[in-house]
Amino acid sequence: MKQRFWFILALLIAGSLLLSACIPGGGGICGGAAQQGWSGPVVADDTIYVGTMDGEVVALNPSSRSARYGFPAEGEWSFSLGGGATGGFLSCAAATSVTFYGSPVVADGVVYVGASYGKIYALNATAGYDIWEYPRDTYIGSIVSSPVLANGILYVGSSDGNLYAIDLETRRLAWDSPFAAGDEIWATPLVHDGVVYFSSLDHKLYAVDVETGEPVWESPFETGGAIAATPLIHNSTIYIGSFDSKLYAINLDGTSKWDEPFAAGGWFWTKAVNYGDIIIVGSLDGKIYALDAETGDEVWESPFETGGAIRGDPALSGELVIFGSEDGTVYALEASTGFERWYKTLEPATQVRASLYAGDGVVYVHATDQTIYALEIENGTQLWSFASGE
Amino acid sequence: MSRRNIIILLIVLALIAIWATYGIIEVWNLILLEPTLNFLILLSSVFFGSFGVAIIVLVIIVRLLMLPLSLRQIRSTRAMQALSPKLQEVQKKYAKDQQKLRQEIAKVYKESGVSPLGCMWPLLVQFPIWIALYQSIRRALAASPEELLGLYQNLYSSPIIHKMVPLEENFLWLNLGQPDSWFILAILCGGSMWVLQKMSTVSSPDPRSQSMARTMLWMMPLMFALFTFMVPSGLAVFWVVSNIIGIVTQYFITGWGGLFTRAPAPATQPVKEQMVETPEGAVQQEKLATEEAKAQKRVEYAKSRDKRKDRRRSSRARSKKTRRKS
Repeated sequence: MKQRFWFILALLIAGSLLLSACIPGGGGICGGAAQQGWSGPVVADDTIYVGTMDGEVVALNPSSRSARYGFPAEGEWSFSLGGGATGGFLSCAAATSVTFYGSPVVADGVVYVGASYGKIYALNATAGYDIWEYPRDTYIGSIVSSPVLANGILYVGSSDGNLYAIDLETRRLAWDSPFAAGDEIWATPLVHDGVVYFSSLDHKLYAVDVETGEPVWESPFETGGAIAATPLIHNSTIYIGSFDSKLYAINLDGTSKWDEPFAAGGWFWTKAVNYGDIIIVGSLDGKIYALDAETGDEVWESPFETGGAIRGDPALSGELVIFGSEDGTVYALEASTGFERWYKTLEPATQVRASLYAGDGVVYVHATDQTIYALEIENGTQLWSFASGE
Repeated sequence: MSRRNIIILLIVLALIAIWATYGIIEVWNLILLEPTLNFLILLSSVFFGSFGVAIIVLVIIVRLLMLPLSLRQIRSTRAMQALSPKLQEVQKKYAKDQQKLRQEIAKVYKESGVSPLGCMWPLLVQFPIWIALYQSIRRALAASPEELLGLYQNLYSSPIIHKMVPLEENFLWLNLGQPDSWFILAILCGGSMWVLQKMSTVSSPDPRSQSMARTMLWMMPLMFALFTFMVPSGLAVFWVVSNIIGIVTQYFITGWGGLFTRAPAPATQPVKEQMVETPEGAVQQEKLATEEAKAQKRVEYAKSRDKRKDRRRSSRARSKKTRRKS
């Protein structure tokens, strides 16, 4: 009987372990990875803005960081939204925590950023205080992308499946109601010639009139998998990748340009970039592909292989295209040939999932070790790093 | 060492070698998690994208596949419980001599042909499968971007499977990725677990066993009902369906069992008198008699099997002697 008692007790302990993180393959009662976010840095007026993984928006001065002054130095600030990454034992709900997936947008002295718990914030770019937030008294669905600003309207997609167009003057919806897609919107929209293009996890790419919020196409463009990538528009053609592991070229009227979409070995989650008429895009299979914009044929001798999935948007600087990979390495390739110019492996056991930003000879990388790295574009030398929480 | 034990030892050594080479997580993912996860998503595509239906169907399939083990476990448990009076006698008789006590207990098990681990090893075999199923459901739900990224790494490269991601979270009144805010699943989960336990619990003359059984009868259902408030409702659906199938399985083996009887009375009265008190007790008494007859048959079979083994051993020894002489 004693054996039976200990056996039952062992079962209960095992049950608790089952529901905690201590089982093979990881994952606990809520399974999977904690929500960290992957906000990419953006630079405006010599200041770097980024959402950290512990729920803050920070403004960094590159000179102060380079000189390793204590944070915050002059011209720097942090704005806390409370909480940080969640996950772990008995904590499925992320209602009270916050992180950032999209990069901030800066315009006219205001920083706009979407928080994972479903609010958009407008912060003073100089001092870092909260100017307004939307919605004021409630929340929309989780925001997993960057907002886009065009003609005084802020467009942002949400996990509630709606695209919101917020008038910056009135701080209210510019349309009668948000535009409803069929599923969550995780991608950053793109505004081009009076049309806002955005994708959804319902496998579709939508085109909506910026003034009226009405669809422009008869029906949205449908792919074989969910879409979380931001479209690229080059020469009146939309390029977008999908979770069916294909990259599509779509005319502005919503019809397909290529005979067949380009098929890779893994999902496309990152935005494509163009170097002239070469479309360059990374995939979760760890490879970087270069395609002819007109035909979709591969341009490089072979795709460039990294050691991990490519999730974040690349940066273009001159003739270099720079990618971050989940293997924790930043790669700089010659855009025309795909040859590696340099690579830089960041701290061990880190990954790069956020989009990169390049400007003034420096590329900024926000890695999963909650550190922002500044690397020289010419040769990948690390100039400085900043760990949020310093 | 018997041949069976050698085989088991070799399997364990092989598993250890594989784990040491590839890592336990990789092996776990390869053998259990990924097949279960991908099959679950494939089922969703078969059932018109309904992840809720896919969970139910998968639980039914897994339960059916493990039915032989479940039946074995139930029968072993009942055989162990049938031995309980004999074990208590032995414990009383040799309470002061631990060594003799262990010998006599081992003798009782051997004579009856029942292994004390008999009710445990089917459970141990099933346990990793249930963990894999639990993990699969949780991973398939992939509520956050990080989880979706992680899910990608466990998917097979089939367009049918990739097309289903992310899975449809809505099922009946539920969002399978969130706890049930109506508490209906908590009641269903706790209630079904209570029914299952009540059906499968057989009264024991040992007061300590009775006390523990009473505690477990309420503690486990309450614990799981509490968990349903915290976990995604997809997991709670899995628990409820699993319990219901368990009830059906138990019914076909033992009928309603102890469901409609009161909690066992304290063991101040002989067991048979307790049985006669209630109408259902007559059914239980008959079942107990059947179990005893079965236990007796097992004892006789074990004895005859031992005799056959002895005869084979002695004939082998004789033929060896004959060969040496020649």
